[in-house]
Amino acid sequence: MMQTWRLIIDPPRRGGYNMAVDLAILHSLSCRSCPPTLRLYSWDTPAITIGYFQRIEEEVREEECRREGVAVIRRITGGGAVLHEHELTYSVFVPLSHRMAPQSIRESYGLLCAPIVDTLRGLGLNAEFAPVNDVLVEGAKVSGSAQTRRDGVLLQHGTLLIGVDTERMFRLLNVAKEKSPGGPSNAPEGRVTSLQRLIGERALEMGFASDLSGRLARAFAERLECVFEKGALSREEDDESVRIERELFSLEAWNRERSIRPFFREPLD
Amino acid sequence: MHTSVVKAPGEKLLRVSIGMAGGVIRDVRFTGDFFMYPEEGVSRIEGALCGIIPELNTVLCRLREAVDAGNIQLVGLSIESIARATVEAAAGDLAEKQP
Repeated sequence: MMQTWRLIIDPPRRGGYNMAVDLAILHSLSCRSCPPTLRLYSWDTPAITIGYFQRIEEEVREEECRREGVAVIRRITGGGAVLHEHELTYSVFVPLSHRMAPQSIRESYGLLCAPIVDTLRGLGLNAEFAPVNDVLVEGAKVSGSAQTRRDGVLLQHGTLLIGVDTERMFRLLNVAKEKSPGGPSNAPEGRVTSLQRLIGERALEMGFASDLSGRLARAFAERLECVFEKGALSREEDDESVRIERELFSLEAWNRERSIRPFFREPLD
Repeated sequence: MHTSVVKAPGEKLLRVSIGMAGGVIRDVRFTGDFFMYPEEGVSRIEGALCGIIPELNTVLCRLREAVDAGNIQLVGLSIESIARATVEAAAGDLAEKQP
């Protein structure tokens, strides 16, 4: 019999809350207080997340972000800085005992990015997984993901770009010159794409994002060999999300300096 | 502190910032868009480089020990790249401190 997973489709929310919900569900699944979960979400105002190992000062043009009211939040996952704006974001919470969470991190990225590739191919696009954590169409990145493993649970979250304002992206983010060797022909603007660019203006039409969510959920169900039951955060998860946003993702101390302690529910010492 | 940046083909970007004192590494910090599991392994690796002479083989040896002892998986990053950036950053910091 196929396992039943929870599917949460959230309305657009602010950046800190979105990151807090991902950590709250991770905690919840690690206590077996919820079923394995796929969450699909978006952003009510543009926000930047930086990777766990990054520094704001190195990745972000802070003055521009302040001027444009864009919050900057440190993720609990590694990887690079992302401007979240017009995108579908997913997070998937998989018990480490599941076959989609093999010990090899590289392999699990491939397994869990496969539903994104399937979804894009279903739209007629020639998508391919590009290790470690990207999905490309015609050589340009349309999706990036990041993973962590804590307390018996794998969390992978990532983006699927619907529209992208590359001008704004590169106004707010620093791109290290080491990331674009080869000069202007390999400029970062050309290495990012979006569904709007790939399939045209219908990507921005009303109803497209919800159609895309449905397609992505079906692709995950197929790969995970599960059945989704539509659900929502429990009261405890919602309370925990509010607390985590307040006590972690809103804090300068966390966003400016990585620290391990907040990953854990209990103090380390 | 001096920072060296390394981005080997097929790898993620790594910045290593080093502060030297008395010929040995005093402070070290890694930042970048790489992945490491478990994430707290980064502190173990940084700690393993403190107090050593920044000579390539010594650095490589310390890094391998720390990665093995912490059962750390590096993804998008190699021990060799970390070592190269460490040695470069240490040399850069020493050069900056020259009178």
